[in-house]
Amino acid sequence: MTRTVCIALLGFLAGAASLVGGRGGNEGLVARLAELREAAAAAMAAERPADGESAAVEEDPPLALFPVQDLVGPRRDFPPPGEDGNEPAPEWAGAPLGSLEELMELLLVTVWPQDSEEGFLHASGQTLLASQTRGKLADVDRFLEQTLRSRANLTVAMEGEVVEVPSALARTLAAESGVSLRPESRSALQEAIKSGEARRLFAARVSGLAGQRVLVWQGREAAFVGDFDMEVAEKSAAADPVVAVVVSGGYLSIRPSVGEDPSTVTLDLEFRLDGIEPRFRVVETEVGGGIEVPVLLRRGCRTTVTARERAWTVVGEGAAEADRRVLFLVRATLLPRKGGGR
Amino acid sequence: MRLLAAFLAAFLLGALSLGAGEEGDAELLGEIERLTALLRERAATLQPAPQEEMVLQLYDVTDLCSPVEDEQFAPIRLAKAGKGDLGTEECEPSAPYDADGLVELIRTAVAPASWEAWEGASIEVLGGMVLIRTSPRVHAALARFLAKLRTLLARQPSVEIVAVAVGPEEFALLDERPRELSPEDAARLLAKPPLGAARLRGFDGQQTARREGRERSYVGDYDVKIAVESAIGDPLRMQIFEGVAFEVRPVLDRGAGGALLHVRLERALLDEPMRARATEYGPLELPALEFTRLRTSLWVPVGTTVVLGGCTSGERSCLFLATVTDPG
Repeated sequence: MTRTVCIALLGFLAGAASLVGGRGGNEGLVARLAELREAAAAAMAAERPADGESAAVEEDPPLALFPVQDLVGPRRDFPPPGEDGNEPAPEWAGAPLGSLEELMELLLVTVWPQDSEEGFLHASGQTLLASQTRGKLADVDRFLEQTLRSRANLTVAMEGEVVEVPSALARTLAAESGVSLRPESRSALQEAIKSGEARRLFAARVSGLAGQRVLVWQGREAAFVGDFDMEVAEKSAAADPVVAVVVSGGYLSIRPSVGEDPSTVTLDLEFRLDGIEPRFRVVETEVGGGIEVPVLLRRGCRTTVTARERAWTVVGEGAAEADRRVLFLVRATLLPRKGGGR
Repeated sequence: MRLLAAFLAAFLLGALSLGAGEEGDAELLGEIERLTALLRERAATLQPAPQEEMVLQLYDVTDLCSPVEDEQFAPIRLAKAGKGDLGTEECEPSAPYDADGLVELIRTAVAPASWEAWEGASIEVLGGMVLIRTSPRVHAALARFLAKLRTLLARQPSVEIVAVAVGPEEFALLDERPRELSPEDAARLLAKPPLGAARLRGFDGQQTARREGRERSYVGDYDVKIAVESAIGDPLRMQIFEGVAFEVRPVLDRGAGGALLHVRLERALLDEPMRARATEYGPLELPALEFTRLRTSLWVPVGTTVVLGGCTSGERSCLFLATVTDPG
């Protein structure tokens, strides 16, 4: 019996050894598998297909170009004309969101996936080039459109009026000066204009970006003989007429600012209405037949007010003919983006 | 015999007891085979296939690297502008990409790993051309990428500006519709005889300018020459322009649902007849010009007519309307 057990034990060991010997152990396989897994993970990370995409190797990775010139391009302020009626060149203001590099930084810390080394964000010219999963590219697009553009490109419609009204009405309206007019006061003014009791001398409207100074101007440039250059010789003298230009008319130069509360708009404005006598007064001179002297009636106001959005506000008042006053009114309306983007 | 039978039974039992672990090895081998195939496939996308040769190809990118010149605004004035005055600003031409920037972009966007890893892969700039050596498959990807860039850069919006006269009542009516006009209002206003109109088309982001009207000459001065006993005036001919001068820079949204529009617009009309004053040398003509000027930037929806702005005083009124279209 003992001999039989010994023989059986010997057989068991021989059977096991024959398999182990044939395989040489699986440590090598495990190590090889670990290596391959690591290589495959690296390969997949380098070109992982986007959500819902086929893993076809021929397909380009999702790539999007985002033109951002409107966000990083410099903007211009249009200053009001000077006292001489000349219009200065526009002033370059900064871009609403700084430089392209600053915008890229902003995207990297806000919507760009922090835990991923996939894809890239590249700035060139005034365009951002991004490669990411389709979902992440949509996030970037949404952030640019809904968060940044809706503020940076906020447009404000601005209107201004110069009206001449009876003093009694002026007193009523001016009592609300600095505070937006009540609808019934505005209606009273419109009724007075309709009946001829009041007169709209000038009205201007312009839509512009929040933060930008814009200008709308209607007027007249007229040439006149404003001087003589005297030429004197031994026995003669000559008057060389010098032609000058006088500018009259009205303008509204205005910069709207919109803060966190969109129900109010701050308006930094210059409102002007310069009338001119239809005929030049002529001052007789010894030679040349006299020089012409224009006579201007200047009215204007320069101020900064915070007005309720969509409501008229009296921003200035001045004297007119007997028992009449001149009022300057402005109104601002926000024009949110509609249907923008994709 | 009994001993032989016991040995054989025990041999089989030993082999079977280890055979249970054999199934785990089969899984290992299967996994190794799958990963090897995957890596082989992956390598095929990065490495030129054995039969593929590196191909040298020339890409003409002049269109992507050419400077786009902004057109200069020419305001309408009686007096000539001096240096630094309005209308004399310098416009710096700018290109969407410079050649080096474009090469950097290609290296980043198209097969980024290949440019360093592949022996013989190269990108060289030759003036407005880029000479690229890579596999046919990367060339194909590159062509698709450049086509994408061109699609974006080829956008050429069209902006139509119309100046119309409206009565005070009509001007006031617009108060309730500050931006987009209804199709009926737009049709009514656009049906009026325009005070001036022009369509401007350029690249997305390019500043275009247009002046349309009539240039009129007049005797605006005399060059007086004096001698010992006499003086004479040499008449000087001058020109004055009347009509419209528009400067427009549209910047389209990515999806072109709207555009940021930067404008400088003006419309001017000469008084007729021109006032003249008698001088000892002859009549001196003194023109007068009525004008409306608008300078602003705003966001506008594409395909809709919007009111940009305008003025009214007494009998004079002028309203500027704009319609941006994106044919692309």
